Amino acid sequence: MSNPGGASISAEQLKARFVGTGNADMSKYEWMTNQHRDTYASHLAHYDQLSYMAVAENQSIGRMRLKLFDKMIQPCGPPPPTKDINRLAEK
Amino acid sequence: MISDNDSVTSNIVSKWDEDVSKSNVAGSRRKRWDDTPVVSSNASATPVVASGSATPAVNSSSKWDETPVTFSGMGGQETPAITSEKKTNRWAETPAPVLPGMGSQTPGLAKALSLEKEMDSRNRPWTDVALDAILPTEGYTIMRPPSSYVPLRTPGRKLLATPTPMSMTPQGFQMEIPVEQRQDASVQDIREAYDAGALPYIKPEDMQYFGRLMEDTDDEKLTKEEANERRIMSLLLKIKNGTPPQRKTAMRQITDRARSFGAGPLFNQILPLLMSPTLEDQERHLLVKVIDRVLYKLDDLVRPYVHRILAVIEPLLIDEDYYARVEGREIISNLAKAAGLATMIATMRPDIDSPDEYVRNTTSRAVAVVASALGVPALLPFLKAVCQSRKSWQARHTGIKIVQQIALLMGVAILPYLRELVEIVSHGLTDDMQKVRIITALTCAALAEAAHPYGIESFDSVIRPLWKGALEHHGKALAAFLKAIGYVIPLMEENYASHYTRLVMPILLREFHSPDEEMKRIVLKVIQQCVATAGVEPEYIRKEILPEFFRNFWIRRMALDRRNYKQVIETTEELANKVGSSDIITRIVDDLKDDSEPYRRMVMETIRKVLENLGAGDIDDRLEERLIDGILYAFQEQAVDASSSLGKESQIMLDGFGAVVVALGERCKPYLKQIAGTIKWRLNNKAASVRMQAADLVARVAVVMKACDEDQLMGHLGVVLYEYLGEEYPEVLGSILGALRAIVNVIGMTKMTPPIRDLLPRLTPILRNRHEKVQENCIDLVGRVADRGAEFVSAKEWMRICFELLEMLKAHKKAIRRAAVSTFGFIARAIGPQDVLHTLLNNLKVQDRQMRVCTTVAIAIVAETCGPFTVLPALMNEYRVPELNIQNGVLKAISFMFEYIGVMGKDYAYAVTPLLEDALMDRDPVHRQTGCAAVKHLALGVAGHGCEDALLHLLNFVWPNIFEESPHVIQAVFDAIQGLMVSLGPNVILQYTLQGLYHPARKVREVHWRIFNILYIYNSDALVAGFPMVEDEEENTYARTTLELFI
Repeated sequence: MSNPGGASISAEQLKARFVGTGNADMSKYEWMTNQHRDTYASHLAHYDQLSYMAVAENQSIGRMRLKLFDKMIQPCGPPPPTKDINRLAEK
Repeated sequence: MISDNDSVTSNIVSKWDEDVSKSNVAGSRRKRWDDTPVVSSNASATPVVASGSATPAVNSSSKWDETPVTFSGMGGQETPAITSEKKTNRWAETPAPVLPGMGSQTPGLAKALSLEKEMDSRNRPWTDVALDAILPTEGYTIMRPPSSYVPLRTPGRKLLATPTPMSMTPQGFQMEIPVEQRQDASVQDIREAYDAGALPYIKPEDMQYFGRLMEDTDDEKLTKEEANERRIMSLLLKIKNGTPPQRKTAMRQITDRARSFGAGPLFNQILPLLMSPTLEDQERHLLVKVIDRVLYKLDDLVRPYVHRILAVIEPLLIDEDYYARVEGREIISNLAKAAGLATMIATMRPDIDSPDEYVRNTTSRAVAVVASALGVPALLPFLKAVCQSRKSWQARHTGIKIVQQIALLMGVAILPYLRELVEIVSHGLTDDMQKVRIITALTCAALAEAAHPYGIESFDSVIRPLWKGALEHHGKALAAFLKAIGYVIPLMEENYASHYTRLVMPILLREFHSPDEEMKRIVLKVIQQCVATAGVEPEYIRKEILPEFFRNFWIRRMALDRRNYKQVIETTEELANKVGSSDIITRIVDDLKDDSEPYRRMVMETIRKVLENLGAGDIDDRLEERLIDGILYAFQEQAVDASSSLGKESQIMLDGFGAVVVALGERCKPYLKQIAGTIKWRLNNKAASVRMQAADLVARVAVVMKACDEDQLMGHLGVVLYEYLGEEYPEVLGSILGALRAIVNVIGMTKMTPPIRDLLPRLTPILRNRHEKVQENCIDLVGRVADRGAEFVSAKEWMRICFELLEMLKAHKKAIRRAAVSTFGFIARAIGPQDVLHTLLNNLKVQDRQMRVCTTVAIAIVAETCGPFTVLPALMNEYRVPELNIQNGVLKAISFMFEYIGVMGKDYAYAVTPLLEDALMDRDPVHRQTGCAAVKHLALGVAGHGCEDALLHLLNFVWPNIFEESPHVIQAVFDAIQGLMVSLGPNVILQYTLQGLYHPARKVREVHWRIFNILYIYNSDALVAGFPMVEDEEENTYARTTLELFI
């Protein structure tokens, strides 16, 4: 049947299915955070990379995995303060 | 200024007409030079009439030549397809007259002609009537022409505008009368002709709704409401009667502004329209779409109007038209989503115990739709309350009926709530009112049917009451209870099913004698369901059911009613599945010789179904003889159908005969002579339907004949059919061609009689026949010959066929076009691609888009079968023709070619790169679109075969097109980029994308993010290596240090 909602629904669905997708209003911080998480996910998913890194850091593979998981929380540090025009005026 | 004007008016009395008198003065002074052309223009008309109108009909020497095709008189310019040969046979006639200016002209001329016509209509002089109709009355004054003005009236000039002879129709040329000069033209017609006001045509029956739009009003005097109303009215009119673009914009406007218009004004106009008795299906669909969109926008604003909307929409739910029902459901479900459950229930509550049965019926269906839209659980408490209503039995009846409708509507989706639904209705089986008991039993049946094969545990609570009810009730109520039991038994486990079957059987056997037709059908259905369960033993059926069953139901009277007939056949089929085919067939085979034809048909159809399900392994020699004897008798004794088409009745006989022969297979050998004799005899019958049926039968039994090694007999039939190729009725001719094809298929090209070299020339003229069935069968046969036995026919003949095939590309039926296109490939393989390609390339010049598309597919197929190197040079050369259609055709052909040849494309990637480069830089968006499609297929084909340099080069030309607005073009561009993503790797594309992700212009950013998202969706893992390095900022570290680790 028809979908009276139009395109906006599909954008939401896209975001729901692929969390790393972006849009024209995405900030640098958000995008970089996604990149970092994708990078860690990629390391975690490829066992050879994981074991390589474990050797390089002289740690067990399990610890390395845990470390990468931990890094996924705020991989680029805390979010920058919102650049709200109203707030800037207060300063 | 004003004074000038006044002086002019004082001088001249009449207003616009003055120049006529002036011109009369001028006419008196006319030179004789001006006169001559007038005469010559008369003279020029004569030869045209002589050549155009009468010739074809008068000159035709035999009646075979009387084609309805209109010749335009200039044979040299016509396409060879029409005049290349004289039509020698009647079947080659085209039934529909080709429109003048369509078929018989070269496309170039047709184009010039249409252009000329358009210029004429645009340059036609303005008349007073037209101007009055279009311009407002106020604010305009009619100016007087200066007194010194003398209009230029030289007939010599007019001569130049004489229409070319090509536009002559057989009736002679006629100037189109401008709309404002026609007698019956209304103001509306004139406005429409001049595209003024841009309102679509209002049909007379719609005047009551839209009539006010025709009144001229001053926008400023209208109140806000009135202006609003007018606006909605004009939008609705555009949606209802407008052209697709008008409709599209109007639809968008009405959606966008729905909330500002308000629910009241919108529905005040939409609902009466929807109730209009003259509403067409298409219009209703459009209005439903409007309501859909508007509802979505209005959301809760719609609440006060729910009842009115329901009153209009509910009748749609019981409409006899399926699509009306679906659309009714769609609106109600959207209404429910917009208005919310509480409003819907509050609105429909009073209708649930309405004294009017009709209202209750529609309401129950509407509530069921609401339940499916908002989820059954939300409605369960309400339903429970309604079904247990003490106040009135009508409420209980409606409540239970809602559950039934929910089951019918949602099917297997009721499973999660099955137990609740059954419990809600269960007490209805013991209700005081018989009507409630009946509807409850029917609801149980519907629930069980929807839940099949799951959910028997949910029916625990109703099995006992159902059982008791079946023992206690009679008549209609018993029928309902039996129906419910019939649907519940298939859900049960084997031993229970068998147990209940044995219990219910005495009741069923008793009701075998019931005079009630409805009861009979239900009994048959229950038998069918009981027998199908695993627990019932064949021996039990043979002993207990079969004798009574055949005595009561296999009687002539049952064949007369359509529904009984179907049910008896279905039940017998199910019984046969249990007890085997011979048991059943032995009982009925002799009835194939019954006196009553409907009864014979019923036997025939049952035998067909039984044999198709179970095969003929069970049938012994004696039964086999009786069977063949029976079907031959039944086949020969059919009542002759006077119409030329095959009715349902003769189709049943045909299918039955075919099924028996195929099932018996090699065992048919002794009877084949007799069967062939019957076929030959009937091929000669006077009635067309009999001939057609006989030919169809040949097609069915050809495989069996081959299996029986009756090649000679088949060859004989082939010759007979060949002789019947002069058949007049297209339906019959189609069947004869189908029969010939079946014979050729099994017997092979070399052994075919008549030999292929005789057969094919006879088919060439038949290809010209415009009847769909003839075309399809003929092209199949020709294609088969071209595929397997092309060497039997001369190259010249194949070329002739090529020309005929071009016309086939116009066919409406896709199967015909596809067959024609692949036949081009076979022919090209047989006689070499050059000539075929030449024909096809010429065909790219035609106007008809479908023809061109099919032609490009054919070119691509030729390229695939004969090797791209044989085709590509000519194709690329053709691209140099500076004409849009041809260049696009070439591009499309290249695109299809790369799609078909796949990896082989690696040898041609570099060759076509300059051409694609040019196409991707062209001003015409279609060039770029088609070029992108070609790049996509090329890229996908050669991925991993080392053409990356060429592809990267092409990407540079594709990339600037990402900002295209047109949906087709942008889709093609994205497809091309995705194709290149595969062959170049995602990171190459990523580097192109990075430049625009943070561009200052939002439009640029949006496109680039779209591409990035595609990249991310398909290749997120691969992108890790390609992301850019970003410098850290204050607290944030953006370096991905894990990538820098090394040992």
